[in-house]
Amino acid sequence: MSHECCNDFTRAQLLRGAAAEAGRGLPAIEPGMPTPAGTGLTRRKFLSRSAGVALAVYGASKIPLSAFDRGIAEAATPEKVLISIFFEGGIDAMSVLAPVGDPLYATLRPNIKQAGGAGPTFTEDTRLQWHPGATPLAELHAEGKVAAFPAIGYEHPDQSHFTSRHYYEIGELDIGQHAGWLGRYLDAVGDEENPLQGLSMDGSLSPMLATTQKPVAAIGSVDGYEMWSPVSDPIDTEMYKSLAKFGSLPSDSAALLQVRRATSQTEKVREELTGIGTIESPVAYPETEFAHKLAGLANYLESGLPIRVVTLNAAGGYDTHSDEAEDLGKYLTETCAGVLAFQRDLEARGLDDRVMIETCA
Amino acid sequence: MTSDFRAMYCSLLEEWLGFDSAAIIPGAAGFEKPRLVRA
Repeated sequence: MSHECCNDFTRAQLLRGAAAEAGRGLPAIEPGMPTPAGTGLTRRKFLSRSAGVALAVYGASKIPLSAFDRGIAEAATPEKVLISIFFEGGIDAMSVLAPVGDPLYATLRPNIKQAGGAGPTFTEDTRLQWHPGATPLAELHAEGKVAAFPAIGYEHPDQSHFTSRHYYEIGELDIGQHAGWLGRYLDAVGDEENPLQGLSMDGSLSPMLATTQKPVAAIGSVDGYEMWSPVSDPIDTEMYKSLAKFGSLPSDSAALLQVRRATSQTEKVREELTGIGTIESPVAYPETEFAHKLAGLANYLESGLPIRVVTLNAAGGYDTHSDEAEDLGKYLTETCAGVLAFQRDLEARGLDDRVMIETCA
Repeated sequence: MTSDFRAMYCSLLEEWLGFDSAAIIPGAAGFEKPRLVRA
């Protein structure tokens, strides 16, 4: 193993190029769905020391990965952040805000109707009632922090939620558009070397963020990094100290010296990454994957990372069909509880005036 | 339908992000944009 190889590992740049396509870097689609925005964007992975996260960077193929760390470190922290939470599959809005006060409701929805009083009343129109799982949103609505816009759509839909999803991602009614609506915004205002300006938090790039010029990124985890060891504290602490000492020993053998350098480099990387990405929240979050992502995001925002827009999917899926009664409640509860905790976290950190969440389906 | 989704996007761009929606959303001028953010 050459010394240059050790240096590359120390810089922690993982060069794996690929072109984004549905199912690989972009959300998987089903036959008949329009080609998602972002198809064909270059996709490269690297570990950002500035941000302490592993990113998949999309687009800006002529910019070397090494420039992105500098770009992230030097970019200004945006004043406002927009977070888009997407309910995959098309949520039944009439169950989120149920018209229990309409006499036709119970007749037309005999199997999935909500009982009057099962959830909080919608104060702006008392004929409507929040789904019990949306009680956290009702709490925020009562505080003036949520605005609800039911029945948003477009004229003459073809009833395909695949087509609708594509339109919502690109912000227009044109199947051939290659950029997302938020991607077009980033192309207009974004930086050449800051991939964090558009951050997709579901492991693949949201087509909403697909740009034509500026880099954007996806992350698979908000958690930090630590080297795996077969033992735990206090033994592994002493083990790593021993490895550091071993790595610094001289040797007359070139082969042994190379091994010792590799050990020393590895311990250096471990030490540098320890603590980065550790999530510390001033509030308690539900113990769900969705809430954990938001907890990590709050951390990123407080640390001043140059994030302008964020996309993530709501917990679970909402193309529930005959399983709506059970699945909608479960996933809506998880999503709304996470959003409430996130809002309280932002308030505790003094960030709530900078952040807006838009949810759509 | 009560609102066109593109009108919502226009409002988000203009009221929250402070950017001219006409540069991002085709036909922006033709949408009645709802008010999303309190002054």
